[in-house]
Amino acid sequence: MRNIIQFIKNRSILSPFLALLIVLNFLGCASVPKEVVELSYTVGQDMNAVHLSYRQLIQTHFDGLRKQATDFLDNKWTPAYIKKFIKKGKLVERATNSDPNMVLLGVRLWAEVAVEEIEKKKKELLDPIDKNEKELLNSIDEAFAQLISANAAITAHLNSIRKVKEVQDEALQALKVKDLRDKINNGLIFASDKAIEAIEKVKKAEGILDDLAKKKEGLN
Amino acid sequence: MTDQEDLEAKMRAELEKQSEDAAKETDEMLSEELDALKNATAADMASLKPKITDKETYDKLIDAVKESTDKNESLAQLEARLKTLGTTAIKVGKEAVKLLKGF
Repeated sequence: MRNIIQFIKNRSILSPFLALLIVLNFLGCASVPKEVVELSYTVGQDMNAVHLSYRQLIQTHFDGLRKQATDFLDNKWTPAYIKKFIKKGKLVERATNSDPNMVLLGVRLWAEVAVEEIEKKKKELLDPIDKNEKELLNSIDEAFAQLISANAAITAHLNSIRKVKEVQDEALQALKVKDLRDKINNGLIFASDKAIEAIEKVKKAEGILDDLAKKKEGLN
Repeated sequence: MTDQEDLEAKMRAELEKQSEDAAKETDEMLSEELDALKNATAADMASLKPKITDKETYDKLIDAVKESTDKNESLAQLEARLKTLGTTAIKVGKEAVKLLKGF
């Protein structure tokens, strides 16, 4: 900061009094264009879109896993189970009973129990997949809610800075000193650019000194 | 319980036991495929969950930002408040003058 003031003094851009003003205003002079607020708001909106897309991707992935499990159940497990249950459940015997009422009861119960067993297996295979999907979706929802809430706070804050700036502008305009603040800001930007140039020059000089020191050591 | 209901209950219990055995045998017969399926459909939850900063830290930071935003908002409303204050003061002044004139 001292260097900047000295630099401004040397450049005779502004009086020392003004340099003091710059120091006092330094932190309050940052500009917040409306695009910053718009950008932050847009990021918030897009985060919602990414969230939905992420959810969709997870659901598609778990739908695939469910299909894999259902295919196995329909094409492998159920036919094998039915084959075994026809024998163990004595379906032929029940279906060929001489009493038609016993045939009806036996076959109906056999079918009901078979369906219950297949549903039980389906639940056993699909429940862990559904549980994982739910758990993952919850954690994604929570994470995005956190991000969106944080971004909304940042957007609101940026917007509030803009509002304060507008009030300041109006007040300065009323005092007819707004131009002065803009000049101070421009002076600071100029000083900051020059400071970067100076830093680069110092680094260069440092490099030269290092080289010389090494050469000197080499001579000794 | 009627005889018919009793018969049905017995038959169902017998069928349920037979079905359980059939399912068990099916599981044993397809054990390799079942294990492969369970492995394939088990999601590595730890690696899939997003690892973001904990909620407590976020809440603390958001609260601090909000507090600062409120201050800015209050400052930004200064002009409007002063205008309101001015209007109210004039109104009160006028009322006071009216009252004084009455004496």
